Amino acid sequence: MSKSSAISPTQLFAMIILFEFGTALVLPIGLTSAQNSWLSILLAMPAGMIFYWLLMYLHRRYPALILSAYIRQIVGPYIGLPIGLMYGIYFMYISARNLREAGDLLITTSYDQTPIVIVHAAMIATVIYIVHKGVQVLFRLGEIYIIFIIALGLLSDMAVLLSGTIEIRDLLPIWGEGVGPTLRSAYPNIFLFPFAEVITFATVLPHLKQNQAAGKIGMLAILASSVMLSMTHAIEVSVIGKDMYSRSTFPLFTAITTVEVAEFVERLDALVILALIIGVFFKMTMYAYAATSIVADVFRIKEMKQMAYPIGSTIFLVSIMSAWSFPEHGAEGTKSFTTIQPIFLIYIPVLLFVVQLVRQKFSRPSS
Amino acid sequence: MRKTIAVLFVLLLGTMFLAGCWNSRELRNLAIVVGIGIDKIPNSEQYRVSFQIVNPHGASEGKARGSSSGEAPHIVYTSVDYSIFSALRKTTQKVPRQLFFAHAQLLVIGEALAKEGIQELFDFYERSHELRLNTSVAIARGTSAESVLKVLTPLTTSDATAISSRLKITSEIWAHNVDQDISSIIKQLAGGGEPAISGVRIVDSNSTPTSNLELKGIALLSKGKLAGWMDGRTARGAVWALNQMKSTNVNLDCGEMKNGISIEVIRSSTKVRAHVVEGKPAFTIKVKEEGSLSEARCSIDPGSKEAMLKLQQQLADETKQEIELAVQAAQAKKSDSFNLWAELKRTQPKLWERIQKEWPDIFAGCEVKVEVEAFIRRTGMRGKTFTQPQD
Repeated sequence: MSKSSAISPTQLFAMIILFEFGTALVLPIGLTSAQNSWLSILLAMPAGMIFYWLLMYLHRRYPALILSAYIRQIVGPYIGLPIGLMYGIYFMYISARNLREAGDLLITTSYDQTPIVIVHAAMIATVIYIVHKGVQVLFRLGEIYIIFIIALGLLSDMAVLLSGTIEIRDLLPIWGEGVGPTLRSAYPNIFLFPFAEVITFATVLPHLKQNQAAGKIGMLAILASSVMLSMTHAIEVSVIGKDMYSRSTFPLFTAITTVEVAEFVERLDALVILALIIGVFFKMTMYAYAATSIVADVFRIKEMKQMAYPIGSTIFLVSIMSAWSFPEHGAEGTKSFTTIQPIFLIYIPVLLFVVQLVRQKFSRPSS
Repeated sequence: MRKTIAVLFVLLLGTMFLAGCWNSRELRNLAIVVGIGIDKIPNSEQYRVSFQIVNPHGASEGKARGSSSGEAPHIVYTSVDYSIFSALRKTTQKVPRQLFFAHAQLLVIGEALAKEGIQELFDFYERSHELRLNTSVAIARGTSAESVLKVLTPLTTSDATAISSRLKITSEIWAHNVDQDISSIIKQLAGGGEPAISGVRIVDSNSTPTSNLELKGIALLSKGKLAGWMDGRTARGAVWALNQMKSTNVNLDCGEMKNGISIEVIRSSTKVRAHVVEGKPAFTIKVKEEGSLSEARCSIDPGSKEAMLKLQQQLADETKQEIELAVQAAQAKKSDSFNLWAELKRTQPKLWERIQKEWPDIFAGCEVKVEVEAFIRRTGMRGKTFTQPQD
């Protein structure tokens, strides 16, 4: 890879955090155990780290290749090519889902008169532009915006704390419904979303400047993001209560509307919308970039940026056509946890890892 | 050169679209709603929804009434329809501007409607992005929500803001009412308890429009329906049981003289413990309060430890009695307004699961113990009273 597209460790760190936040910050996650979602996040974290380690292992074996390229190396071109292509399609689909979530939040909360097409078009235009500019621009941007996100987070946390609406007791009893639901929402739900989604980074790892640091930096980023995510969801539940949390379409938004400090600091909704737009933007751009680079790799297109427009437009169309209503969109997401998500985020990566181990074992004597 | 011109052209074109928002709303086209009142039309499924709107001309005079412009500081519009939202939209036939709800501070529920049940009123508040969940709620006592909103209040420009600020202030320093907002009402209704909501009534109603409003009592609800009122000491007992006591004034007897001493309670905290006695839930309400002597119409000597200890005991007894009054009133109406269910659910989740359905009946028969610890820390700017004991 050319030197011009190198990514520094700091940029990787920032990007992983922004990516993990993405939509997970604003949407209810875990699904089965609302009250303990904060605990489920922490429980799912170790698996997230192991998964990242697995990606790093494969990356070390093929340091110059992206995901779809080393799939072909491991399982051979005949099986590898279609699998790679399927990843491309999968990434496009998830990118479209992210876009839809951002669009629907904006419309339900403030732009009630604006057609969804306009909101989506404005976002996808920016995404296409960034993907067209290349990976380095995306990661540099991430380095800048991580500061915004953290400042926003601190500001809203402070406001919530000061307004005194936190009821820590709403988090109790921790084991009221037994260990089962908490574990079930950690595995597979929270492990899949957002932790295992770091698989998209397998398409940018070859651009890293210092390969050695990537493992440690990534682990740190996953640790930091899951602690912050867990804290945010704990605050959400303790502010609006378990019942309202599990019925909310956007719990963070509802939580922040109850903030009122000294009858002066009120209506901080804008902060949440800003955080969501930033988070979703990076997440979907990351997915769009991953899809673009995989498609370019599979079809041997030399100039990756040529693919930015067709992929971007496809994401744009899918985001609008995939579901006729937001509840249907949600139901589709829930269904994907038991159908397509495990295939791409657990089965195939683990299979690759096993095949790689076996091949290494049998190829060693010959070399 | 050509390229530069092309780029400039595109940029200029962009400014055309970026100049405004799609969703823009101009202030001069908005009617700011400060209070919403909901009544039920008798023998019908329809609601009468009233909106109190700030009149920018009347309000800007700085003084509420008697301003030279002669305009009322606020206007009330009403509409009748099957849902709150459709009534809201229907109102646009009467209002020259678009209703804007982000500043609605008060929801008044008519007594007749409260008796039929308030459960279905709040979904719209949850679903809407413009209405706020921290809106204060009050029940119009002995009257309709519409007439409460129509009252013109001195000292403020709008009576909705006046009621909500009054709710805040009186709940904090007199504590015979509770400032309940919509999110906590929903928490109660969804969880299994009953929300405690303050009442507001019109006093001096024959001298309209200069009549005034007064907060009066706390409503007891049973299955979301208004079942009775707690007033006076009972209401204050409820505030204590809810752990919302911040400050109040308690009158104590001074020897022969009834209510001869005033104690200002300055700090109080209530803890509720749930336990299981023979398979049945039982509760202990523990109150720890601090007060200071604020007025004595008889002679006492705070220098004597005995006198102070006696006073402390009197304060504790009075508090205990008030809380017990409130608990009895609530149990009589099968109305768990004190959040006891939440404590039970936290500590005994399995038991709660089993008895959740019959909770109102079980609550009515629950044993509730009250323990109060009171301290009188200070006596103000003086020690002894200037009058001498007469014996």
